[in-house]
Amino acid sequence: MPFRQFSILHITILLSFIFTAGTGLHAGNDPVLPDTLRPAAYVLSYALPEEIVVTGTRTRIPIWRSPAPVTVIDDDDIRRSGDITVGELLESNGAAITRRYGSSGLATASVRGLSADQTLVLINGVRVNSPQNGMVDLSTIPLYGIKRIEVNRGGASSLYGSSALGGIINIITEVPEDTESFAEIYAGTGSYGFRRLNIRGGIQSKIYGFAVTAGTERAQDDFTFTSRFVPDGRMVKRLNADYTYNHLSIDGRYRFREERSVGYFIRYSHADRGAPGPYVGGIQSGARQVDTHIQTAITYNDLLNDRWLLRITPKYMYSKIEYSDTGIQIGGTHLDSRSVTEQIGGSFDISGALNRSLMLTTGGELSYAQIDADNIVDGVRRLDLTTFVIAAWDIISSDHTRITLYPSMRYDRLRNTSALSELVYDQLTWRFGLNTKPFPYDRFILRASVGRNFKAPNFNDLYWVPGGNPDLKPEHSDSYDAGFRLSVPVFRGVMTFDGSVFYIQTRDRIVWQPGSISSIWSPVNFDEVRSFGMEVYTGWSSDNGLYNLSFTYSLQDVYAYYSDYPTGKRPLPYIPRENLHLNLAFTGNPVDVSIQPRYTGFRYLPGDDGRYLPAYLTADLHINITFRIFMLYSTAGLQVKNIFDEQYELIQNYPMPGRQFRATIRLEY
Amino acid sequence: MKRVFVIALFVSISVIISGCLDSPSSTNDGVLDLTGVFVLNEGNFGQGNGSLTVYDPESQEVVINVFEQVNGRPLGDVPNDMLLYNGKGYIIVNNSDRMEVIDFGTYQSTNTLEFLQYGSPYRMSISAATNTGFVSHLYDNRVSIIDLSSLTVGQTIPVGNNPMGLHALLERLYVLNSGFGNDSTVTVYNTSTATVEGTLTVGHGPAEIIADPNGVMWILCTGQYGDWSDPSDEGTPGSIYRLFYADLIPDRWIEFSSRPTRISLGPDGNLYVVTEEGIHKVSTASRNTSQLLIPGSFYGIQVDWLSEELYITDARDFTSQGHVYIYSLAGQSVGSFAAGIIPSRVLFLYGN
Repeated sequence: MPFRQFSILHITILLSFIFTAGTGLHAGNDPVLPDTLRPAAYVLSYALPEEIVVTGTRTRIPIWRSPAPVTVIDDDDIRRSGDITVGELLESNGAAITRRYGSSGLATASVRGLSADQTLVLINGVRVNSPQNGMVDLSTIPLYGIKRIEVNRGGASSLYGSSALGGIINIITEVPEDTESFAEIYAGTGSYGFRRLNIRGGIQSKIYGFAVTAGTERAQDDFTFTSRFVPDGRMVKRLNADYTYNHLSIDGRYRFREERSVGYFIRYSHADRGAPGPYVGGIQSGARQVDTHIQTAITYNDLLNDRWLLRITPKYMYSKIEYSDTGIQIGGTHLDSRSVTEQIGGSFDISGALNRSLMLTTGGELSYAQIDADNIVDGVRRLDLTTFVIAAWDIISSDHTRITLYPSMRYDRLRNTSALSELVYDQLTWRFGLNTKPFPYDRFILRASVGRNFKAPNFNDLYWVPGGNPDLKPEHSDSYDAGFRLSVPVFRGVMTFDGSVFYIQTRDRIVWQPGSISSIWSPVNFDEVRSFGMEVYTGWSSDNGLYNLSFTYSLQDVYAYYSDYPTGKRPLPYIPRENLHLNLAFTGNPVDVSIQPRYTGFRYLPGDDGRYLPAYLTADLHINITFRIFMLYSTAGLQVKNIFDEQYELIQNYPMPGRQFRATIRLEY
Repeated sequence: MKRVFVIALFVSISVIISGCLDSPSSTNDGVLDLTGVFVLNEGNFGQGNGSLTVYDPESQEVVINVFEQVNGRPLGDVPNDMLLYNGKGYIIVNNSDRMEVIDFGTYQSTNTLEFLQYGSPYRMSISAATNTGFVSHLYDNRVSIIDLSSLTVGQTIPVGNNPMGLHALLERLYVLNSGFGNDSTVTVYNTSTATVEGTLTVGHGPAEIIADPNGVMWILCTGQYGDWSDPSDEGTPGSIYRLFYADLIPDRWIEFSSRPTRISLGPDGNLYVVTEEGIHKVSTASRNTSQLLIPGSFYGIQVDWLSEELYITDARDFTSQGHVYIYSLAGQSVGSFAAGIIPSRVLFLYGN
């Protein structure tokens, strides 16, 4: 089927779906419908309800039962942040290592010192990593309409397949769960020409609900900064860093019967922004980049009985990236590029309780991806076929002690075809997790996991013209993780401690390096990377819910090992050895105040000459005041970002803005 | 002694006709010494880690990043060219759109010329007679004319696609329009009439140009890389063209089976060329005569006429610190020293 016909057909299907959703025919249910928890509830030791995470085991379990550490950014954190993209939030929140190429450029995130393409990003559990470069540009995922983000640490390829070497970032959209219709308008203004306008509304009942979210955010981001490349030390104004984000999304649910429901989301985003490139003195680039993304999936839930749940989730992803630089001519033509990738496929699984101590989830995925890009050879396609089985087995479960094992195994077959070759990767991955309550105290658990993970070469690695290498092998990693979680009453509140140590050994890492003389870069399976570190979380919440304090610290050493390196090893660039994040929040009525200082340690730069980006300390302040205007529940907010006016960079020579003010108003009906 | 005199004469001629090298500071007894070797390291694009390395051949001491060490700021992003002239070093910093002028006794920056209208300066040539510099702009298809007295940009000359090497000789400026392998022309600009005298056709990708003591031009063409998406399209081969000042008729001197990228002229009358296979020695006396002298993977080359040694740069993996290897003209290894990331250009400072 021709590429364009393929696109139009599916967009037509989607538009039809949106239309019918608007009429309520398909308005449906969210995957987190409480009924879908019933199979898990059948297992006696699951103490429901309490905080549920969905990322660690592919099924919904309490955070206290997860075999891997999970950081949750909840609705309150998201609302008070005033951030506009997921990339901006993850940087300010510190839940992941974030690389932002300036305030409006590419933003990626990773965990445990691995790279962005070794970190799987999901939206509502659906993979969104680009098959072209293996990453997700989080600056193109608007934050408005996001309910929650779970950062699951540790390898999880046996659950989700390729790319889940370092961990998983699961972005969960806000689906109407109440029974009343609502409407909201959210507007803001701020420094450097920042403007935002978002609207959201929904209709819902016990049977159905859907919400439409739309918004636009824009800024000039023409801030001034200092640069070591300016001989006389004068301030420089950032040029061509403007952006305009427009987005529209629909989330919904619909219940057919008591036991059957669907949930769906469709997200459209469009980002038009300057791409000024690194500032190294001289004329700032006038290049532009336009991204268009469509992501959609439908989840059909069928509660077969009290113990078994069937889920089927078809998905479709579309991504178009256009880059243009009229300032550079090569052989008489401007430097422009364009790529369009599409993915269609889905997953199915059936999960349930075999008995009172054993939960089982088994299923498979089918995904087809294709690309049409200027620098990719013609006819590139990828077909993924997978099957997996995941278990949660309480081998001991009593009031005093509990030991739960989480074995999982997955088989992936990836078939890449192009006009030049056909490549097949067969991958078997596994994980063995443990979560135990060793004492008769419910709020102390120990956890551990060990697993084998992989990352398949992406389209750029295999088929980039020139330089793509079709002989690449997939990357593999062995990951080891151990930790604990403890809550104790402390001073009219509850204090929670969570700590982990980890070790990840990645082999056959894919590295691009130049050819012998032609300077044409090409990827090779190069070296081995060892990532070792620890993560500590300490939080205290008052019993009355007014005060929340938290402290997050991570330490990681990440080195690439290769015999030809002069010292035999080399630190991976842009990985901070230390990260420290504090959150001090008062959630009162009508005033809600939080301050989030964060410290990011020094980060080595590419190469072996010991250069590094210096550490920096910055903080964000959020003040929100709630009040009522007639029937409207209103919130006026002030956000001060980078209150210390720190000059810092996340990627070398991409300056970040100094102190910024944003004022927002939210009116809800 | 006669050989030393010939070498000194060539160095002096080079200064007079092209200004590429500084005048030897002292020729008291007619004997010159190599007092310093400069290595310009490109660094990685966008990272601003270009550097200037200084090597003392007598003590064998190396200062990897002398510019930043002395001036307290980085040299810039991708320095591509450097000339020594009138006691100063002129460094073209491509992606920082500037020219740094340093005192090469102290390495202090004495001036910085920022290119505000046309960026991506790439290569430079100097006309000593008019105290004028010419700088090619890689992505703007222009050459800037610079008054070296006031360090200001005057007129700009429109040229062909992606100009790389250029050379000022008497009243002519030769500009190689590489098109990154897709152009094959040389713009000949008359500096006295300020007009384009003509456009010559050579091989695909003219990139480097040098003049021998007789004023004969040798133009290295990389060849065309072909259609990347078509494995059967191997492009066109690299070559060297000879060009006489008098007739302006390019003459294909030799064609290579492996792609050439850099060129230098030796005192023995041979051209030393970096290709994908290694270092080729190419005769300027006999057409189509070359020999693979040193197999390997190298990046840049320059011949020191005094010691009659080849200084060959090795960019290694393009992210680690590079090396400079010293070989005799017969291809025997003599020594080596460390340099910065992607060492590219080598220049020699003579004195006594």
